[in-house]
Amino acid sequence: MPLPAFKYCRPESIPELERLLCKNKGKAKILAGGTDLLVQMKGGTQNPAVLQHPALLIDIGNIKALKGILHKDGKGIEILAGTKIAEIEASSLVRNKLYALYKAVTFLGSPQVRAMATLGGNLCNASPCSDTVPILMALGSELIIAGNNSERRISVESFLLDYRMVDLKADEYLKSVIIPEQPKAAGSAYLCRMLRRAMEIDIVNVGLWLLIEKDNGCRDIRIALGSVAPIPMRAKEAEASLRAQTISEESIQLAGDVASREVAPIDDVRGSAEYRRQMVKILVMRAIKEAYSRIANEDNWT
Amino acid sequence: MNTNRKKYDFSVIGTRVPRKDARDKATGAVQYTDDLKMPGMLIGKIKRSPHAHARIHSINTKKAQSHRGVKAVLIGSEAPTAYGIMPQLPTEFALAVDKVRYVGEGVAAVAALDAKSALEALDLIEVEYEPLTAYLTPEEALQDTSIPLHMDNDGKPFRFYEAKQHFGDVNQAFSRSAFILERTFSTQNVNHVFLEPHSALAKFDGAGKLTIWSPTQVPHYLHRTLSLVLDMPMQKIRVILPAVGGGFGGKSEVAASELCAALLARKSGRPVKLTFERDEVFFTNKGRHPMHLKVKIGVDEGGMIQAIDFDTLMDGGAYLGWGIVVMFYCAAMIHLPYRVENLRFHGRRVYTNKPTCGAMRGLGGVQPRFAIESMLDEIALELNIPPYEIRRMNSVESGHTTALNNYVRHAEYKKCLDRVVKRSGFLEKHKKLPFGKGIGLAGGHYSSGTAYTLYLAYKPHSSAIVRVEPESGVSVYCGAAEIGQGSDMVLGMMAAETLGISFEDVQVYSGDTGITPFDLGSFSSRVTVACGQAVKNAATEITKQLFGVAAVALSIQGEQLVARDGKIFSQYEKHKSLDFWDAVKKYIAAYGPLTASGHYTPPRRSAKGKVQGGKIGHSPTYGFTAQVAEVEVDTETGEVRLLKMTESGDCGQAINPMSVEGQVEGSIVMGMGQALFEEMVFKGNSLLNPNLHEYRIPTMMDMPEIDSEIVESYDPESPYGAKECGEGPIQPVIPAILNALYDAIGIRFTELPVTPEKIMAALAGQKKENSIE
Amino acid sequence: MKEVIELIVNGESHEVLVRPNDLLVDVLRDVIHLTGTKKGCGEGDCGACTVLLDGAPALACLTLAISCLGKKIETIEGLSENGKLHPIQETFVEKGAIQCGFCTPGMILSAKALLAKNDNPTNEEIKYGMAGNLCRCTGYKKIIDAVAEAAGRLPQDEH
Repeated sequence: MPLPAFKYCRPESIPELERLLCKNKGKAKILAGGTDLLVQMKGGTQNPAVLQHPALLIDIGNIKALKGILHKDGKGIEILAGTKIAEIEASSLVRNKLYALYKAVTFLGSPQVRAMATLGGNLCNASPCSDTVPILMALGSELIIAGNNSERRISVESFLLDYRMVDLKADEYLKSVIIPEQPKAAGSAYLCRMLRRAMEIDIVNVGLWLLIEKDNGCRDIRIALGSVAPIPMRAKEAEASLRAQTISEESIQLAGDVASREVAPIDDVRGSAEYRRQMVKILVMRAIKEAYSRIANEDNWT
Repeated sequence: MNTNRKKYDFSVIGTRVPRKDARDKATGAVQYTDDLKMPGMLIGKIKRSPHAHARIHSINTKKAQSHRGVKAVLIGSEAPTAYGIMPQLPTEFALAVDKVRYVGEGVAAVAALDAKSALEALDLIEVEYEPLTAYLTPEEALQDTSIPLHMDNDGKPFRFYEAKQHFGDVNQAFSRSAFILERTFSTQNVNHVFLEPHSALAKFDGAGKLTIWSPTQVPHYLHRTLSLVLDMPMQKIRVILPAVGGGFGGKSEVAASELCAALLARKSGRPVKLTFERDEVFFTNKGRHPMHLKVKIGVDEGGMIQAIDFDTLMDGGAYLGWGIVVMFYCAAMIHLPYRVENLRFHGRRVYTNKPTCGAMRGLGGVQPRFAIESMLDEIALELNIPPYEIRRMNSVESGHTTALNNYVRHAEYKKCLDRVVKRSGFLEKHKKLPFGKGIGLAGGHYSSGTAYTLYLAYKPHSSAIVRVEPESGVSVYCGAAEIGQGSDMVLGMMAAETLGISFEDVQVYSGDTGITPFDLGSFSSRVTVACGQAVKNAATEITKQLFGVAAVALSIQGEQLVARDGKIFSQYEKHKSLDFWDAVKKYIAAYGPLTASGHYTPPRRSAKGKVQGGKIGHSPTYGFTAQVAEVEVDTETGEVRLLKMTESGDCGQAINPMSVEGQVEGSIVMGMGQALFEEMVFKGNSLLNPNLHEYRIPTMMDMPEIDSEIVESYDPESPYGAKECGEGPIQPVIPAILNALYDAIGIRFTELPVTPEKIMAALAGQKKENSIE
Repeated sequence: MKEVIELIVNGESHEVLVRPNDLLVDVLRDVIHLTGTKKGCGEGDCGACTVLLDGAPALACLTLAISCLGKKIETIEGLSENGKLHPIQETFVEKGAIQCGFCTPGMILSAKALLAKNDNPTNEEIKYGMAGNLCRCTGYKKIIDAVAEAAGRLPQDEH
């Protein structure tokens, strides 16, 4: 299956990247791992809505400054956009501090895809079924958008504008993802429903973050749902139903119910809207329990 | 693992030798068709119809022809001769002639200097279509009286093939039955998904002789069809198999890749290679027929089957292919592995505007097996008989003749049931596991050696030639198609055993119509028995010649001689021995070249009463298997985990146990795919998922624990006691899993695949019922 | 416009003429004539085109040849040395893990990458580490057995 024709360049530095983006405004696309972009450029059996045909591909694979997982003392973890998913999977820092993110990336694609794909690529591809977006959203992550010698910082929610559309101007690029420092009383979880156990496009996925206070009170909660809308969404009503409540079987069940009514998923080749709704409820309930059990293992929290 | 080696004292048969081509496959040295290159080779591509049913008014190829890189353009009317795997019923064309009948059907083809030029040229071909009403389902196609897909020889609309069979007196048998169960079942379109897409490389030499390389399972039928469609004598055509990346029945018919490559090669005067993309493999299909089944089984109060009434509505897709054979195989498959004296069969295979269905591993058997094994379980429950008992009491034994006059000369089905139940702990677990966990039993059989030839011919079904000379060694020539199933190895082992030499010293040449003698091909699990017997016969002839020479050299009577360990010696006085190669040299010096041929045709059975369905389903012998599946259901999400499959199989004497295990393990995972994941999904008449991310075959993460076993068995009339193991083991997989699901959550699923959604919907229904009670 | 680039494949240097849109799988197969890397689906779903890029598994059907400039490319042809099979190739042959063989090159390279990261994987870890390679013939069981056996045969310095 061939690719259409295009020009190719591989900058070695960020300044070079920014120059290229400026010069080729609107005609260039960044090539990271290629596991989404090249499939979309091939056409083949893809949904016509996602086909791409950029005139220029800018390969960021050699830009060292766009790779790495950094722990910024007390200021959270920064993952540069060009970091391979496999690196995130292998990172003991991520596994220890952000277990749910580690878990989410283990579901992404296959070992080959994880070795090729990047976090930035997954975010910019903006698939409604992305494995990384819901957990990053739930963790309250922010994205650094750069370009033209300037930077801005926005939430994941703000970044995703519409179905496969992100807030990136023609001369901008996603530089890094910042996941805030996690308080001891916080726990997170990622769950997904798949038809088979590898290389899947999720039917439903859930990223969840929970902050508790004494006596099992829910101080704060963020629930992000994927594959149920054109872009992953926050289940704000479900969050509200649990926030400031005691976490119990009943309140968990209520949150699940509310979340399932909050979504308006579609029927597609993988599943029906009704099944997705049911799964939202189950996964939200399980995710709350899983996030809670992570916190419960800690001795002291405020 | 019981190999029977000691019992029968074989030296080669029953050993776990690695295949000879394994090394080259492990290093990437082996060449599949798309790996081949030739000087001047062009690349072929096919333009496909976007319509499910349309008349072709015109095809304008002028622009394509003037593309710089294009050397030949082809349209259907240049090869208007219809063909089909059943020669007396040809319905297919190399490229559509006058009409297209499914989305993805080929309408034109080009040969160009490279793939890029070929694809550009396809876009330049202008086709004017007049869309016609398209039929998605058999029900639609049967009801609608507007334009049918096909016409018969009298120009009348032809919508479906029909078969009716009646044995014994079904109505009478039902009226005396103590319990009758009626159920309907529905199965889906599944595809073989062999990893290697169809491909063909065709070349004409200066004398007008065509050589074609293609991963076909049926070199003879390809040979024959090329002659027909290209209108040239068979003797000027040679079919050669490179390595084949899987077939499973999907390469057991001629494909457009082969015909178009040959036609383009002739037109351009250059070699042409045409390889499909994965979506083209799906459009070509020839996968398993969806069946809508209505089955009625009557039993006496003890559980003995009195009668079966079986109705199938088959969705054939746009053309015929193996279709009728599948229908008659389905009819035949109901007669075993249980005794059924009274049986009524009604089948209809209907044309619809979708990719054609054909032969897929276990053809004609998987769907009825699903229905009958599920129903036996339900009947057993109703009568309070263990599922194991009801099968055992109805099981056939060696020497059974079915109502269809199939002679089952050898059967160890009871042993398979006994062993699998014991090893899996079925009796201890069935009905005793907590809600959500379940265990299920099912059994099956398959033909081995098959008597059916697809067209009436009196010559041997398989032949082999063995040639022995010191300079080139031992060469076995057999037309059998090595498609990755290990047939070369099996035939080589049989030759080695017969000649008393090591497997290392035998070279097998197969799948080349220019060198190897006629063979029907690799389908219906016929190779081990049919080609094996031909090879054994030829090798036996060689040993007879050598014994003649050795008897003289050793001054003893020929009957005393045996061949083993590279020697020919007296079984009574081992020191009276001659080295194999010495005997060969002596023979050749005295008599000239040492060669022999052997052939095999399944025994003719006289018509006992009414013979129905031709010879389809008849087979010299049959393999049997029983399986136990253990599942776990997440009752909140509907996710099914297939935890374990235990299998006990009767393949007669396993020629190579490692290979048998490989067939069993592969069959189980393939069957699991159809039970739980796989489905070709259509929206309107377009295939939504002609790719491997939305058409899901099981991955390593999905596979169950597999514990398989070869039961002690030996069919004395088969070459070295062997029977099939390639298509039998897939038969019980689906019902074993579905019976386990019933045990787990109390729901009988009658529609495939059983997806988590269907499980959740069924559980919700069950909850409702329970709360009403 | 085509340009000349140097690709290092199995330790050997190849100067090839490529366009930006030429895929690594096609350059390997059609230009460098290493046909061990197979094409099964073209969309990254089957793993038959798996090669190693700087030791990491990659899908050659979704990799631009031009992006491999400066990288170490390993294909199945590079695994055996002087005709001696790599331990993973040995165990695949011995354990009957090869039937039609089409998935085999991709499987073996994925196994190599896996064992380089984890020298003593459990069966579950093997399944997870090779989940991107589809096989339709074997049912996977003997492949897993072969990889587990190979783990025990790898020389220490390969870990």
